[in-house]
Amino acid sequence: MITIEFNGSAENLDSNANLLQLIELKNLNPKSLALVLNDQVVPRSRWAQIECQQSDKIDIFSAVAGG
Amino acid sequence: MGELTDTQFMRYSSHVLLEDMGEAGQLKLMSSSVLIIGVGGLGHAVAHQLAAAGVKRISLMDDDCVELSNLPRQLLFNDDDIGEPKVDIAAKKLANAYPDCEITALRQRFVSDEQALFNTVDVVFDCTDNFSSRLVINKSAVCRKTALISAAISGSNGQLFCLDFSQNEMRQANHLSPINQSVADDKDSIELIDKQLKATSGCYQCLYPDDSQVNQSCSQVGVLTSALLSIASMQALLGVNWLKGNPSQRQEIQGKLHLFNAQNLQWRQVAMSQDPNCCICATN
Repeated sequence: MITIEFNGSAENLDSNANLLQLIELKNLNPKSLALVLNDQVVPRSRWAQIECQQSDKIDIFSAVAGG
Repeated sequence: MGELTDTQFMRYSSHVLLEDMGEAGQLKLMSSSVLIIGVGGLGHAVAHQLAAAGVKRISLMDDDCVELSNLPRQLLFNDDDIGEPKVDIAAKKLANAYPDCEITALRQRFVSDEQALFNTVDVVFDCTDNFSSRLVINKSAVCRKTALISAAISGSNGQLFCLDFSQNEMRQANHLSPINQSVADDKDSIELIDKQLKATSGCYQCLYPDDSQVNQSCSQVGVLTSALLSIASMQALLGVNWLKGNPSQRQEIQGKLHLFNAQNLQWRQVAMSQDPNCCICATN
């Protein structure tokens, strides 16, 4: 088990969970989101390849297109 | 490069006084050319600020006409303009107020066939209000190796970034070079590679792939005028900093995604990343 910070809140997570599994665990739609890992955007195609690490700071935000 | 006339010196004195602008920076602005796509909430304000700042040529592209619901947030327009093409009204009013600025009105929606326009300007501003246009503009900027300054807002969430695609070939070469990998044991080389990888900031498609579900537009979820104009001002500011900047300053500006929460007035800055499989910027 590891502890990460997800959108500012501490969360316990299986140690081998990847970013995509985290999003699915939260019942979020991956296609409606962008994800930031430790202040760097991670392209969606890489979410399944990156395992969450202890103390990672992960934030998600929705796409907006208005102007 | 010439020098400012006495009248120009007085008009732009607040710029010239700035240490990082000076007369040289103002002259750079006054020799610049930009394309603004979308002349709605963001675009009208970006155009107004760039014209006032002294940008030489501004091309405005939009196919919409002014509507009553636009007036609270699109401050260049009033009741008399309802039903008129936005680009014509904006061009006329800005040209009257800033006669040194050459304004061109392009009454059309942006389509990829128009991307040759990108080669005639220093930077393109994406001020559109829909996801599909943003994808087409992004692809055109990548193909034409142009700088792109993109902003968007819906509800309380604003986002903007600047990406410089003029350096793409160099970045892709660095990113893929086997030599870089073979010398990775050396500390300096690791730092260099790290720096190069960070410089590979990707494009709009890397951030939001074309199968993204984006349904947050101002007309669907609303927006406060002050929040909208905050984003527009930041987009214009990014543009001014870009236009007056040297290559090193431009490198500092580009590749950062700025996120704004209008409810708590918080800004956040994160680094953008290239999708190594991106069908737009990893191959073009």
